[in-house]
Amino acid sequence: MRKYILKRILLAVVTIYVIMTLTFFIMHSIPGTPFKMGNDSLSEDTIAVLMERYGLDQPLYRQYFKYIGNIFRGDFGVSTSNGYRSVSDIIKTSFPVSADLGIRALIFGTVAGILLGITSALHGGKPVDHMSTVIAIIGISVPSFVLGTVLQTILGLGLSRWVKLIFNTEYQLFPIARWESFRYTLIPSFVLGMGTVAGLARLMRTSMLDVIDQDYVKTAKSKGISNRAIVWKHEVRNAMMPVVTVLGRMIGGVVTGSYIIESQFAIPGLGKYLVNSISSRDYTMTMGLTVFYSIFIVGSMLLVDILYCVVDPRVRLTK
Amino acid sequence: MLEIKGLKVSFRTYSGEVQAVRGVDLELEEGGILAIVGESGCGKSVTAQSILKLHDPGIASYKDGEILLDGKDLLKFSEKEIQKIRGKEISMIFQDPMTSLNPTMTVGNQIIEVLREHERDGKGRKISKKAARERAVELLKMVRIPNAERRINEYPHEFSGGQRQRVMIAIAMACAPRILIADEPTTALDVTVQAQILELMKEMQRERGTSIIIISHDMGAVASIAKNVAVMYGGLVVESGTAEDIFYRHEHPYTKGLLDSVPKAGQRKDKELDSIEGTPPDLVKPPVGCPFADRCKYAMQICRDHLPEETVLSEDHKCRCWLLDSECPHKRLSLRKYDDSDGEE
Repeated sequence: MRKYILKRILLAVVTIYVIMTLTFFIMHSIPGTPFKMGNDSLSEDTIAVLMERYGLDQPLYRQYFKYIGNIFRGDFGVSTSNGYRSVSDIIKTSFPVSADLGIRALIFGTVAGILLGITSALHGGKPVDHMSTVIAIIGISVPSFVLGTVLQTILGLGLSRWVKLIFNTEYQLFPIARWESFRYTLIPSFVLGMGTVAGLARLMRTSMLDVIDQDYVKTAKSKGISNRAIVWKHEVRNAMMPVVTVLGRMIGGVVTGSYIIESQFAIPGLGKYLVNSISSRDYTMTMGLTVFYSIFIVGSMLLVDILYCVVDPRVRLTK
Repeated sequence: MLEIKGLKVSFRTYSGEVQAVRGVDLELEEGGILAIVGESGCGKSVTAQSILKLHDPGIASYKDGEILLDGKDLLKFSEKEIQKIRGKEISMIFQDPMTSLNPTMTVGNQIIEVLREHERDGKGRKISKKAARERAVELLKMVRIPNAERRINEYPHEFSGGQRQRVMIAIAMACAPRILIADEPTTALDVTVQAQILELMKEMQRERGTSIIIISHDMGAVASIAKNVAVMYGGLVVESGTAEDIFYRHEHPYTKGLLDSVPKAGQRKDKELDSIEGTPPDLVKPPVGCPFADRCKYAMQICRDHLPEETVLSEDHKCRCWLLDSECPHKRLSLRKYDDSDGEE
């Protein structure tokens, strides 16, 4: 067990290192520098001074080792496109918002997805099952910006228009932008969580249907256990295995993949910094966020590996 | 004690309705051991699982007949009522111990679960977890799992196949049921382990008076344990009687074929094993006559046209075969004599 976890941790560290290295060289292979991207508003001399100031005039391998060294000291450098704020500072102020949105979406997505999958499997072929299939297909195939816009229009604007008509007050039950109180979080979390709902509902359904036919379920039935206890104690727990496996990927995806939602709902998260940094050749910002995100994703996968041990006793034996 | 009368069970499938059991009569007496034998698809497992109504109600339907436990028809019981019978009055062990235990639950918890479901303390409440745990350790000792106190916390994958089947027996015997149904309990096990499991079952019957129904296609296993035997074919009981009746005085050509196909000690290695030619009938469209007629070397025209009635040979021994009919041209010629007169070996 300890050996298993140690091995996972070691693998995680190596993975992050490889990602760091790859991102560094890929970023530097894109034409242009943070100070010269075609529109030459700065004079040659100024650029030369800036390049020297940030060490960009040195050979690539020296830049690489210096950067890696700094990262191990916890220094991600300064962002060249955001008023020279430090990358760590930007992460510190913006990530909590992204994480807040991500966690809300994840909790909604996981709980709703799993419950929907279970219900659907237990009523195979009946209307409930078909309904969950429709929800899953919508969740997978409708892009989040479309779903977001629809909900903004109907639940946000449409509803407040009715409220104004009936009660003659300006009140938005579901505000369509910003991130202030619980009401503000509802639509964005729902939209972001929808993909998780769809994926997990399908996975849980398949997995449940597989488990329902297992011999041990028949054994449980032959013991005189009530149907409800069979479902929760014998079926759901075993059906959760594949779900736990994909959960790591989903945690990463939901927390880091919220750029579109963030810009659509004007949520001050981290997503926009990553996208903007690439087009402005803000090496430090791109690198910093990539490393940060990969630590986050690899970390959540590590967590799932360990969680897997807890859920499935058979994994505990693996050396 | 347990009596099955005219049981008919069908399953809805894509290719049509499979009449898996087409009118089965069986009787299990107090403390008896009844074996149901027959090849795959003859309806023996379906019959056994019908006793506890384990079939998926969405697919299976009980068309006709009664399953009487002390005169009460289990088929008429509601789901709630039958749950009180399952694991308490009648319990079951299955063919493959590798898959019939829940892989994510400790062995102890799987025993405790059934105890806490059915057993009540002096005040009519569920027995405590601690008491159930002590009982579970005793049960593991009873089925001879060494270090029971420690192993109770282990998971099924930490047990060998034979040990898992012992655990299944411990679960089945936990509430001291009156009837134990064993659906091919030894088929998935090594030969040496098979004997141990059968011995354990015999011990349960001897010491706790549990009646046993064992389903098997292994005639050797049946010979070592059964007091009564029912031979099934094509969803029907074709011959039934005491073990002696079936092994030494059998009258049905199918029973004879089944016994002939058992490899014998001292048989020459280069000699092919005896087998019954052909395949069992399609139970979506079961034959009107005797289901075995197509594979029977003694078959007559009437065998294909009409289902034979049961001939009562003695108090226990019954056989469904036209050869035993008083109108049969080979009247009162038993199979052995019949074969002798054919000049066969």
